[in-house]
Amino acid sequence: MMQRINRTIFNPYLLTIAILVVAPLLFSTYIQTVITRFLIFGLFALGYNLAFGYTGLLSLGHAAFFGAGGYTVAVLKLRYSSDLFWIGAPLGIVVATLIALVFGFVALRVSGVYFLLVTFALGQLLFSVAWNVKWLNSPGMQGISGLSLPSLGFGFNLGTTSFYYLVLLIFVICFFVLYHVVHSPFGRALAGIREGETRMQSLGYNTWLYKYLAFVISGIFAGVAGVLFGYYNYLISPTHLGVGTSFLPMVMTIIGGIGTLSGPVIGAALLIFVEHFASILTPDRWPLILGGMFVLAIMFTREGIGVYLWKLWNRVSNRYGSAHR
Amino acid sequence: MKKLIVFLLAIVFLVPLLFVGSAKNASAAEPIKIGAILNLTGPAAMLGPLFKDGITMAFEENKNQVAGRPLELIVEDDATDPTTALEKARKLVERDKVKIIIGPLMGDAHLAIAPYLANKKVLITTLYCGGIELAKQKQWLIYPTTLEGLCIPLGYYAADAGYKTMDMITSDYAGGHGFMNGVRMGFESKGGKIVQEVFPPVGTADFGPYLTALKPADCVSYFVPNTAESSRVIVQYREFGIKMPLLVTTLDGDIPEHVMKELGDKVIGLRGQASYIWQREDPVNKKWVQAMQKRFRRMPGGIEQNSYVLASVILAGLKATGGNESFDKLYSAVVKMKMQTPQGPLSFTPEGVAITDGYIVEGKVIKGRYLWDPIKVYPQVRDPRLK
Amino acid sequence: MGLQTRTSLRRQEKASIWKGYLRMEQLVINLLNGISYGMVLFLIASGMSVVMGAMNITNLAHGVLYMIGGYVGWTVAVKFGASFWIGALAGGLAAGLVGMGIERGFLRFLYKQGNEQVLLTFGFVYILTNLSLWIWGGWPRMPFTAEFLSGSFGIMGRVYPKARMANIVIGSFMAVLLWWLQDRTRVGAMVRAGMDNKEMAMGLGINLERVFALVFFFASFIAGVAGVLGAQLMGVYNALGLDVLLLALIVIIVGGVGSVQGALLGGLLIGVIDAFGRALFPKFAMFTMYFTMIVILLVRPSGLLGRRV
Repeated sequence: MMQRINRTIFNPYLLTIAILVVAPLLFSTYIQTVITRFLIFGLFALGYNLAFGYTGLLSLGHAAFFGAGGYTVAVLKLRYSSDLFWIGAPLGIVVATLIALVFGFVALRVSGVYFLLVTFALGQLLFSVAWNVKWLNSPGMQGISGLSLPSLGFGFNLGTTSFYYLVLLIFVICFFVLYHVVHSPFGRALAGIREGETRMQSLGYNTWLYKYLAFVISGIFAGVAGVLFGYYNYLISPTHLGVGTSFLPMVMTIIGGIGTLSGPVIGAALLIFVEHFASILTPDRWPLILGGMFVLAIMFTREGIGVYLWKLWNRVSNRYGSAHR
Repeated sequence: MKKLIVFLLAIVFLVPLLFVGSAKNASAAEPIKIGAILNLTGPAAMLGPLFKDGITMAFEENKNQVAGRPLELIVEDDATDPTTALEKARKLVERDKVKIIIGPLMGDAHLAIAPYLANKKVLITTLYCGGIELAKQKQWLIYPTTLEGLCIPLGYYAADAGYKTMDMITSDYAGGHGFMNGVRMGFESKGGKIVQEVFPPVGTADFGPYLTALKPADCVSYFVPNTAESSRVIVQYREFGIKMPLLVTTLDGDIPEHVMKELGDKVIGLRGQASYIWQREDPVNKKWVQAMQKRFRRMPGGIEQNSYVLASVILAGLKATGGNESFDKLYSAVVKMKMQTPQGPLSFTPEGVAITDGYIVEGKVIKGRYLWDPIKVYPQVRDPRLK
Repeated sequence: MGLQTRTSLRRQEKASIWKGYLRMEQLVINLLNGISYGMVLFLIASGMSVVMGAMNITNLAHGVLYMIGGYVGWTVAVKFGASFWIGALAGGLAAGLVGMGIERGFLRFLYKQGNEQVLLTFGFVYILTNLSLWIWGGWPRMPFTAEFLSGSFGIMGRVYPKARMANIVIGSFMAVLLWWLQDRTRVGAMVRAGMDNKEMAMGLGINLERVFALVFFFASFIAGVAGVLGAQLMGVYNALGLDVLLLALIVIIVGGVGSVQGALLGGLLIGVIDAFGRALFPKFAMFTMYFTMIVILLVRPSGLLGRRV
């Protein structure tokens, strides 16, 4: 499913970016942290969708790359007392990439439901490593606490708002990059593989290589999100490597719309904001609301809520656009 | 179908507006806001409502106000997960601007929140014991005592009962290590010897492999983190016909009366540590038990007592500062408190660790009811590592 | 050699034989632990595995169905005091009905959309877990069993619970029954045909939709019964839904998707390795299970008895 940027002034991308840029002026620092959280998970889901929506690889172990990014940042702080962004971020991305290279190799030996199981197993393996290896844990607990927002060197520590803008910047850059990947010949080949791998093979494509690259690239983006999460969350724990966290981008992508670029982001927004809002509104019944939302979203918006929003948006702006012409 | 899409769209776009509203209301007003981080969902979900009841009782005793200012309780669910606990702590501090937080329960949540709150003027408590590292921050109220402090009396008791050797079953996480370290400290200080310690992971369903591999010793003590696991240990222990006496920790929270009733005869002869028993013969306790029975129509236990005392001590501190909730004044007022609680006499160390009595109880049938009967008191237990 | 040294040598001999004997019966106990636990794992995983193979549905709510079976079985057998076996039946029926409701009411409409199906069942995990919390409350239910199964019997000088032996017996019986259903009945043949080639099976006039609905109901029913049988060991509690799901996934990975034999082999293997792992290397409890998983994945990614990928 290809995206059409609506060329009227109602470009939704620009509008959203505009709102997000202005947000800190309207909302408290607390709300800024909630939106930061949304952006981080939106990035995670965005990258995940390259493997899942565009290539058809349903992975249940992507938290391995996400958590790896976060753990790198955490270990840097715990064992080397550094929260320098210029070391943590590249290192975290490198670690996540390496893990993605290895895991992709193992996982792509199978397909279908087995791929799901293998990625799950690999994620759980990292989880149990993080749980048991002493070097990866703060004393007296599982995981690493005491993390903080990054510093940019020379004593310049980021605050809530400046970190928000950093995350927003990285998010926009990654979105831009992914947009071009998806619309490149590479991206189109991936879509072809999702629709019919044997057909692509008969056309001479090395489908394994394409799938592998897609998987690794999606792992890299997960790693970027994980690095940001490590700084944001003040804490990293083995659960961030496990299946509970791996579910999140899958859920966000399916709800928002597989195979669209903004779908996962919309799904992330829905999940983060509704879960947050619901658990404050009904502290003991919120899982019911969340589960209900999943079921309703699946049953009534078959292609995902994101896709319907796009269709609605196009319909509205076309009406306006034609009036202006 | 279109209506549904519109409805869903509305949620996505209206939800942020709700935040706008609350951002405007962020400035503190008349009421004293007290935040509570409780387990309302997740593996410890049954404890959240009980903790809440204890707090409610304390508030209502004070007619929901202190020094002319109304009290406002803001309850959040941490889903028994440290990340969520930290999130909710941030929400309470940054959005609701509370200066007092009761909770959370789990040790890893404490360690997650502690660095975040370290430079913020917020008074926070644990819900039930805490690691000794928290004491260093001089910000946390730790009641009834530290993890180790809670179980030191059980170690003392084992030695006093004549046992020379002990096997330990320790749930493999920070809380488990803390509690059982206390048993070890108490036991070894009186000449006992720990022969074996096994570490089942959290959430173990089948303790069979561990139980059948226990080495012979005079007694076996254990800690596992909740009712489900603790009851499994007891049932499976009895099933394998192990003759060694079994010593249980955190009885009052994990094996309350209605659970004892279901376990039936399996609890007879079990001995262990409890921080509170409702049978305690004392006027303050009798009055409280009556009030709790009337208000909630059930017998209160250690969980409600815990949060009740925490809330009461905070309210007493607020009364002493004349309603001033600022951290510096409130904290020093609270740690100077000496009270008679339903559980016994209470005071604090300067680091905020409570000094309370520890009880040893035994499972018996009394007048047709399965009860924990107190058999020994260790008064004013203090973790020896605190000055 | 003096008299004293000969006596002490004889004592050493006795001690080592005694040690050997102890080791032997320790071995047997560990094995029984492993097999009884493994049988419960088999029952948990078998339904989910067959549904995955036949209908290509990854039912993440399978663990919650197990839990609902356990809760209902408890209510019938303990609260209302009926027989344990009626409780097991009731638990199975309850789980079967809930499962059927999910399949008929929701999954059926998502026929070719595998991803949406996964998400849907995930949504039901949230809903059903919270509803169970609402109905039965947060307090766990104690392990319970039938009258004549309570208590223990002696084996090789040690004591062993009857309920665990019962799980081995019942599990074996169920394994035979399920295998018979899968390989020796018409329905089983139709299911296997549908697994291999859906279009051809339908072309042969088989009403696959009805067959699959039956399979889903039956798989959920087994999960519910497993919930009551497992409750003899573990009781019932609210986190079971996810705990059990994790175990089922591990068993399916090891044993392979789609067959009863795979679930049996996977369950027993995991159960025994887990029991010995915990007894001999207690520090690495979680590791042994995940390690086994990874080894299988590297050597035979489709599982030991899974259909070759």
